[in-house]
Amino acid sequence: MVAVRTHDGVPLLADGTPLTDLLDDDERSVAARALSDPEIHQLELDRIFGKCWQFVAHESELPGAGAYVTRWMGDDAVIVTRDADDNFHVLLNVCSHKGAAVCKSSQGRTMQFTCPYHGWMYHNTGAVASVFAEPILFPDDMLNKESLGLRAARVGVYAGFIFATWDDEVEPFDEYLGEFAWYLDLVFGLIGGGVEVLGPPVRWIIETNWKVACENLTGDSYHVATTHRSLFEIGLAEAGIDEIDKDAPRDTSDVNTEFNGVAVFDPDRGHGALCIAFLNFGNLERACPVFGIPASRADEVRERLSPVQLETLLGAPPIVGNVFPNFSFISSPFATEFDKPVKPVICIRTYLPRGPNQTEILTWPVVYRDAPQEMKDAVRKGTIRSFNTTGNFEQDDTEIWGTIGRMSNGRQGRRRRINLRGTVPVDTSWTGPLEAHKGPFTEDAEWNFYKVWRRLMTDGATEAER
Amino acid sequence: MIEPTNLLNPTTWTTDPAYAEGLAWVIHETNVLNAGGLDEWLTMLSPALQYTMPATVSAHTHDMGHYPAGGNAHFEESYESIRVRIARLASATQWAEDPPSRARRFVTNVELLDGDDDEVRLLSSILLFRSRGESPAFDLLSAGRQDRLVRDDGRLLLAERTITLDHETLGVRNITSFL
Repeated sequence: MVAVRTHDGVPLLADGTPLTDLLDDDERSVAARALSDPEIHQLELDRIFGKCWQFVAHESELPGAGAYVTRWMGDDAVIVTRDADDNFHVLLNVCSHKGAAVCKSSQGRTMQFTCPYHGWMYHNTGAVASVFAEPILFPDDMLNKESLGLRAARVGVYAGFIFATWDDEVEPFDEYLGEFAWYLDLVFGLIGGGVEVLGPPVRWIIETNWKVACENLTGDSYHVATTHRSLFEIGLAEAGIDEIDKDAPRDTSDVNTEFNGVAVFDPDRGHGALCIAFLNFGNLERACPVFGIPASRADEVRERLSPVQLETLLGAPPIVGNVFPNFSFISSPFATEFDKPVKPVICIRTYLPRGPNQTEILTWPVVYRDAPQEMKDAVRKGTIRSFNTTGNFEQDDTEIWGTIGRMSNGRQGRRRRINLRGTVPVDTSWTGPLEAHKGPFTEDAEWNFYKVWRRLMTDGATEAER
Repeated sequence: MIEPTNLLNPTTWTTDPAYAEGLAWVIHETNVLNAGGLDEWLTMLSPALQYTMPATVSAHTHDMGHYPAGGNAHFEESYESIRVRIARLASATQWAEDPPSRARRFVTNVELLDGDDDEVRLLSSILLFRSRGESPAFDLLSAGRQDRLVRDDGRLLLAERTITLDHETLGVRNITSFL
């Protein structure tokens, strides 16, 4: 843990500011220095990324025993492996001997890793396999090899998405997801057979704090009309929508044609999701292709989803969200060519905290394993053209977020506040899980993201929540 | 995927008329793009264009191999999707290129590959420089390219381009330029 002074149990920054002061509950504001301060960044590496569940890889990236990828949790490199019994391991990529990187490759296949420095070998479970020249240097079983395995993180899996945490005390992953999984199922749980990601990840580094991105994916439907206005201006938003839904019979008698979107969030854990309700389908068969599945599987979707989930699915797209702290998902059907039908756009990403003003984005398209190849190709094209380095949407997001990084670094800029005052009342009629605020936009989920952040940063030192 | 096939015969292609044709096309294309002439560039593309820039990954030498097609990519474009991108960049409410970046491509190492008479296949290297606004910072992207140009009514059009990036993790905010 980074050493930190406290006053009445509240951690203090070096200049004496209590960490609890970074948020103002009356104003619903966050100190801009939270987006630029190196000291806060260091504290996050312990209190957020040393504790919370973080996404590392999808099981489809590990085809077969011995498969591995190397990824990051916070500022620590990890090796994610599949062993001979199909168990996943997330191992700190640091040799127990003198700290060299055990594996320098981003992906591959091996049942054992050999450190190139002194030849120590590790099974892909992390356990020590052998120590070079052990009888000479460490005779008489001097080494307690059982304690010298690669440090292993706890592993949790949802829909093949592998998460890990360094903290032995935090709740198991399925409890951590809790009711939020109801919303994830709208994107990843429509048919059986599971999903797979198209690798390798597209990776790039943007000049802003990780929280700028994750808070946006948690609850910001407000930015779409301005940040992404160009796509509406050129007529792409209307492209191909009529083809999907014109004259189709209505699926459910209680489809809410007044549905204007909803923001939901987990008040305790910080997850947030948006149903932006830009597209509204009356017929599931017609809607299936924009979710990456063939219309012939519609009945299976009806069996797997509850009636409320089905109604939400038809009225919800785009559906986006963030599992606190930094795993996001997007299902945002959109056209990528004029005069052609809307394409499915489905991806997941993680935002790595590379520095107070640096975030590395890793993004993957996601397809249903059992979907026909032409459907997978549609997801692939729709997603690659919409959300990544060149994405029709994402180009403008990263351009604007880059300016936030620079502006919150200045002497005066860092003294400003991030304002998240926008709010609509809780919708008590919402029949899905978690706290809901009905659309088209609100800032309640983003404010909640920061409240959870504050709780983790202060060891829960404050109970001052509104 | 275009495979280089004549790298063992390095001199014969220099006298092939298709080399001069292909080189002139590439130089002109580069200058058109560097001048921001996206509408003119569009006229140099085949309506059947496939334009890809796959994501790359580092693997141990003994694990190296071509990454299977159908994986993740930075670009996976058709003629029509490029037309959309050009329209978006021309709109008044796109922010990524307003003010416009200064982008310059340096294309070099152009070599003629084996191909049929009705096409011209080229290998090349590209360095894309970009700077934005007042900042002294600049982006450099390095890549290799394999092109297949086809003849159409006396002109050459780009039918296929595969761009192999020399980066796994890119240090750029976004990619708004065509390589």
